[in-house]
Amino acid sequence: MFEGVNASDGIGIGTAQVAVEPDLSYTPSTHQDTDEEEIARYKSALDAFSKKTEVQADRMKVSVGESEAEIMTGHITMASDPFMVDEITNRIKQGMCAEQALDEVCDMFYSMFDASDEQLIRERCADVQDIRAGIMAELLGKQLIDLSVLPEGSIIIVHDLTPSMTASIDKENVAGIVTETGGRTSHSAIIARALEIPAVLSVKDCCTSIRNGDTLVVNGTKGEVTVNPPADELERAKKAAAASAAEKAALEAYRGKPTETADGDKKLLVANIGNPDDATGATEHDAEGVGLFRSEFLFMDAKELPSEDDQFAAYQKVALRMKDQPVIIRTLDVGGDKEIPYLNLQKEDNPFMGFRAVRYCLNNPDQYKVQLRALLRASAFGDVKIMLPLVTCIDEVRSAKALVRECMTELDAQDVEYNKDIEVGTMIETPAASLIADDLAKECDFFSIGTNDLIGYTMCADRGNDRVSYLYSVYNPAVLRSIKRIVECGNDAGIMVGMCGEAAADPLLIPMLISFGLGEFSVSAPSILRTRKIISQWTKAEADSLAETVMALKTADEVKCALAAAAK
Amino acid sequence: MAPHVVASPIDKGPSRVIRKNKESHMVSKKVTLTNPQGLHMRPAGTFASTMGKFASDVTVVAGGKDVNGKSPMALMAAGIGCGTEIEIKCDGADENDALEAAVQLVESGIGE
Repeated sequence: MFEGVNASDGIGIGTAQVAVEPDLSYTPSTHQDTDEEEIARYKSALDAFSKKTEVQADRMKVSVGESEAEIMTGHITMASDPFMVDEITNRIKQGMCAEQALDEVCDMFYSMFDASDEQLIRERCADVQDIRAGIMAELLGKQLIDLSVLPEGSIIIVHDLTPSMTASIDKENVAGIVTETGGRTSHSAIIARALEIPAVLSVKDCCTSIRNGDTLVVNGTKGEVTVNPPADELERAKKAAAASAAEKAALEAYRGKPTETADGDKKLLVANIGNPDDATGATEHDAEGVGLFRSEFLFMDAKELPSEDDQFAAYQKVALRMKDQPVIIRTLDVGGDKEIPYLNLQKEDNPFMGFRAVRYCLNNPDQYKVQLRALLRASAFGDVKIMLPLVTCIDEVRSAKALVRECMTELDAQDVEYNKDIEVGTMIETPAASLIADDLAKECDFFSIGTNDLIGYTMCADRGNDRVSYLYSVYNPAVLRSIKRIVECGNDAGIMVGMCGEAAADPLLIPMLISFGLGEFSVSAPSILRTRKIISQWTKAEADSLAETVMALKTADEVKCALAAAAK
Repeated sequence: MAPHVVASPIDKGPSRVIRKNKESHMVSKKVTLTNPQGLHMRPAGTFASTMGKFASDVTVVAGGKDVNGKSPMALMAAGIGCGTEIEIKCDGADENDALEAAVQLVESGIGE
């Protein structure tokens, strides 16, 4: 049995599919067969590549969208370009092996695209690389990582789940995810929870010690992976999986119920979403709105800056789907671990302390205003609110609000409708923002505590660094005091204070948040009903008495033990 | 708009040598590209595959460069933007039909 981080609840039973980047190296040589045979070998590789790509495109049309699928069909068009095929066959006729011919011709096309002074054309370089890898894999008889065409009951074993890989996951066929890296708050974990796929992360050497075809039991609740269990153990796992499904069914009792504490104090329970389609998941899980719409996915999925109309369409879609419920949209949070290639940001030695989020946006006001205008236009269609990420000083809030006002004037001049009373709030995710929360509260319409970064910046600990991740815990007294202060400052100023980090759904922490006076809980959609249940189990008085004890404790372990002992 | 720099392989023109003989004289016509985003993946693919049905060599002249009209990659790399005047040259047995089809396609907005 392997142990790892319990990243996404549930028990998945299935067959291992180890996704390892294939080695596409070869020895450049002259081919030994006749020219015709070598050309035929190339053509059959090209055919196989085209067929696979077509299947992928068809699936993506349904699972992701028409425009993403079109990129795949474009790959077929490019790979079957008669000019490209001619260039390759000519090289084979000169005696070159198919692999080298493909490499050379791809290099040629690559430099052709790369030489363009238009960004859009230079981006085709990435397509050339995809085509090269795809056909090369066919020539060498290797498999590329493709998570969209897995058989039913697959358990993905991969070093790290990248955003582009997750885009193609078909959740119907994936019973579990096991990775070598990442913690509970990593991208892999967030995606796994959003897709409701059981996941265990940071399993050392899983890609080498688990083999394709192994039968696996992935316990995402406990963080355990069992390889080829004996029949009786497999049977027990199946029963446990059924029980976990039953617990999920029991939570259905909380569907459609108001979110309130045991003594009737109303709370707002909303969802974190990453793209417009997630809004459907949010309503399906009975969310009362959206507490965090991460707009960067719009930018990361694109090959160039999304236009104002494209952004407006995405924000409007969410606003309309959530009807009159609040929708908090966070403006672009680029930098840190979120890279957007076409922005051409410089590599930094310390990206988490560098040019990111609102810092980048305020330094590129024309670009920022495109997003702000799109947000304002969407506010005519629902209760859209604007949220600024990574605020550290009051100037940032003032500058952003000045840009919002500029955009309003522009829209007025064009007679475009928007909500003139749109709320502008900030994430509180830096120690600096926490320390000036009293002042910030006077200039903001709401706060949302981003615990993921707040913990990291407060404890100076990278959650992805195995050697210091023990420090990365919300239970540290330093973090709890910071959260308490932020909630109190917001409440004193009469503004709403929410939390959109992972901690808002932490069953142990919820009574503390009730005691502090948190008004809004923004959690991943699948955690909505469970969070509602836990909130309903506590009265303010009970939560206060627990908080009094806990806030006097000195260590994270003591805090966690006390909270676990009190948990209902 | 500024002429686009196209790397050397394309500068050599179509991969087949243009035949100059008595039956075939090469026909050409100038048209303006109206696709809003220029000749990107989809229209380039449509244009090249339509041209691929003809036996004639098809060359698109844009910004002073000859581009193989049957190659979607070469067409894309040429970065022909909206509003660019291009010259389409067809040379071969079915050159008149090819040119007519090409001109019609560009004028109709290449399916966009």
